[in-house]
Amino acid sequence: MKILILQLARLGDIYLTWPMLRAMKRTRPDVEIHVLSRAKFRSAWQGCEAVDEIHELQASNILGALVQENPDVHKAFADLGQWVDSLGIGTYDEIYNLSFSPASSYLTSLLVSPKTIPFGYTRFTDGYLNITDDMSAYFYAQVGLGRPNRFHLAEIFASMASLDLRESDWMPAAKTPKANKTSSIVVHVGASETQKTLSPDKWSAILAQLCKITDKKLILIGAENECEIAERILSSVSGDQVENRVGKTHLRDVFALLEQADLLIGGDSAPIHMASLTQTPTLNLSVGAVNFWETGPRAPRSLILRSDDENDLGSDRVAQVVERFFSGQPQDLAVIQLIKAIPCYRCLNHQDQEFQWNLVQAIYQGHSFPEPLDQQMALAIDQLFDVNELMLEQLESIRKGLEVQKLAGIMDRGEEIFQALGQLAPNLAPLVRWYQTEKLRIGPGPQEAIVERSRDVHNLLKKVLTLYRAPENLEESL
Amino acid sequence: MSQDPQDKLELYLKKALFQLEKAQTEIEKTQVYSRDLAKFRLLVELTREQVKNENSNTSARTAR
Repeated sequence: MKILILQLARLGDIYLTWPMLRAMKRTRPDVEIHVLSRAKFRSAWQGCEAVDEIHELQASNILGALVQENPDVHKAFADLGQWVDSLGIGTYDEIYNLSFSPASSYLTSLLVSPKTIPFGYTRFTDGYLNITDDMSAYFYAQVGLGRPNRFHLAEIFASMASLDLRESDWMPAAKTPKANKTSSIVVHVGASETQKTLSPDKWSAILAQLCKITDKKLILIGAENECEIAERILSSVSGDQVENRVGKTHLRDVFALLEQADLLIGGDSAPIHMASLTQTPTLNLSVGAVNFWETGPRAPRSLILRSDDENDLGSDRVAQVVERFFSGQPQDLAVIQLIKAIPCYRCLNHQDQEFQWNLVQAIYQGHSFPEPLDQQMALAIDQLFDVNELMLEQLESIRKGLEVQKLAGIMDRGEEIFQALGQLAPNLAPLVRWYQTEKLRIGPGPQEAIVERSRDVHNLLKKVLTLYRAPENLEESL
Repeated sequence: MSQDPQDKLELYLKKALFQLEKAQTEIEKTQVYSRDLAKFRLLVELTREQVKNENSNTSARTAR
């Protein structure tokens, strides 16, 4: 059996894919696992023994004919076709598209044959987005920035293949020599996006504080193009406790450094996912637009200091958390802690966040529905109910023979109102997005089949809204 | 003054994307969805991703 894994995202996502691939190989030892990723991230698969073959997306080759004074669209189209053909159309039994991007959905649709089972995003025969499985539908509706999801990306990937991860699936790269601890703290000062890390001044202040509370070697790592940042950081840090390795390490060196280290400190970037594999405890300084639930560290004893803005993240605060980590003192409640459970972090949440997560669990996992928080939500539920009833009436009319075209305007207006209510009552947005996603999943087909599936979705929504209109029934699940 | 190679690349990609999107609109007016159209849309999306990514001075790119 041959399986293709499409992972066209960044380094961090590649490392978050390793546990899934190991679980797949562990449970289905005979499968041949092929991965497709961007050529520039090929080295991130080195050491992942579950991978049998790596295919590359070399964008510069495919788009080369376009990147010139007079773009040659015909040649680029031919080059792309050649590359797609080279990937072995129809030779895979299963394709897992872990990229969730428009490009990857078209590529998946081009690689499947009647014998292939696709997972993740692909395309219907009419070109519309086809969300093949429930986990991917969950991803589409609830995962990402500002969304209520609390499942880690590694578990989401594994769930797409109906796999449960074990501790043994989180391992460092094969052939990484087992090293002795060197009493060091690795500090990753870079990130894939500037907004995911701290400013050089902030790093300088943190390093200065760390020097005050520990004698451990502080090893700075980062990419080659972050050397200037490292120089700026070090320009105001004195002494030889800090070792600058920024731009001087390959990925395999980073694995070795992490294996030896007592702690990694860094933003939301690839090294924290590498540390999850080497089981190096991590203090994740989570700033800006990131969702720590999805991409936080997974090594035992890992911690997260979350802040929307680096100005709210004091260097003395970071040092205090590190000091407590090494002395074994308990952390205060504002520090997010890794726990052995799913979701995998313990933290304090705002009641709106809690409501939305409870709503997600009710919709997708059969938990009880949460009590509405305020009157505004109750009003929005009434409005959703009325619009849903109207749309069910339209679908009934179509069933009885009325032309779709005559009712399309009303249906479109109904969808607009759903969208608006999701924005006006953000706590209900998970329910609205669930509804919208399920409607999107209805593929092309005979009108009767489309009407029936639409009715199923509207009736399920009605069931939820009815529970909310009689809150004494909220204990019931769907 | 010579142009930064990164800026030049981004400019070429933007120009190419404009042409591709224009061509896509024309094709979709006259053709139903097919494998060739899927390939063309893939080309458009790959170019779109590249435009977004090329001018960022970071070690990795946003792709998901």
